[in-house]
Amino acid sequence: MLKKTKDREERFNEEYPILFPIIYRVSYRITGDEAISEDLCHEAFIKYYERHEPLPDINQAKYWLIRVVKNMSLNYEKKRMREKNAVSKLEKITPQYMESTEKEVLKEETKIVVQEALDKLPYKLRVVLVFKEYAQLNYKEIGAILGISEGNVKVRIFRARERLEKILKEESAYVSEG
Amino acid sequence: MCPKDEIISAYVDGEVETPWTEKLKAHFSECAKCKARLKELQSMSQLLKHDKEPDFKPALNRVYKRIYFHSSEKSLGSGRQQEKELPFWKRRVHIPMPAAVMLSVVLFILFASFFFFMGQNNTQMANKGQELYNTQPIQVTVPIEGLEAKDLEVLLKLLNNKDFSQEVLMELPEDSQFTVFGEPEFGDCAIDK
Repeated sequence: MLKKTKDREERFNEEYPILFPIIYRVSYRITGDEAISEDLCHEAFIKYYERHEPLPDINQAKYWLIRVVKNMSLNYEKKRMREKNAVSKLEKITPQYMESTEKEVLKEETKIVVQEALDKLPYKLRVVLVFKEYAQLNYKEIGAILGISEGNVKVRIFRARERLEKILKEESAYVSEG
Repeated sequence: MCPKDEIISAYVDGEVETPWTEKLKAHFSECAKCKARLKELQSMSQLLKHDKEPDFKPALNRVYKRIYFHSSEKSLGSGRQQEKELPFWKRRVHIPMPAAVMLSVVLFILFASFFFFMGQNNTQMANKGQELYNTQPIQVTVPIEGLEAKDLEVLLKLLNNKDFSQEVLMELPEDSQFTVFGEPEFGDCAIDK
């Protein structure tokens, strides 16, 4: 029993430095928030650490963790959408004030343009593209994690790229104008 | 014919099957429009991949410490519980499933056999009653002149022979306890008559 926990700890210590950057990256690209990504990683790795049955290899561990993060990030996304709706309601009430501050923010933070564009993607498209670009998963693996077909993954990734192109073009035009 | 944008996107991801990959490659070398689209999608993929990211190392260390703390606290917690030593009636007992099944089976057999023997005891008691009936004959006194019946059989014979009715007094042994056993012979006899 003691040996078992020792083995598990050893394995965890080996895998953690390899897996953490990937899981953190995926979390960050889905949520766009460093603190929340850290929380997601924390919860996901604790769940992984406390898992009773060990996963066969590090790749399986990676899929498992990504799936956990994805499930948890959905809750965060719902909360964010509620807040966003509240903000857009506020925007309707005081349109001019919000517009000017938004412009200022954009001017200051042109560096994180890509992440902002990702944030604007619908959740379903964003998750698929993030899995492809930041977790280096292939269509089959993405389909397995999300429970959708490979064909569906292909369509979603393309739609995500199309949408992202549009958003980036709009944003760069907006920034250069201001 | 030019491929759909969707196919080009899959090509960027290396997700096009082998015969089509070569065909697409050939097409890109001929068609400037599709080649431009390919370049666009490729550069977009590169833009995402090389976008600046927050440094993960501080988060990595913080989370690791928290997990380590969490697990050590947990094991410490369970250690403390063991030190406390709950009184035995409050302690949890883990019984493995096979053992639990065995235990219930044994209990069932015990109960079943208990009731089985109880049933046997009842029949034994009934037998005893019969013995009592056989060994201690009922005292019968018939107040008729010149007649004395010492036991039931004599009395029945008497009643059979002489065609008359007579008040009969029967005394049963005082200490006898009765259970119902067999057919009431005497009563039946009387009814037949």
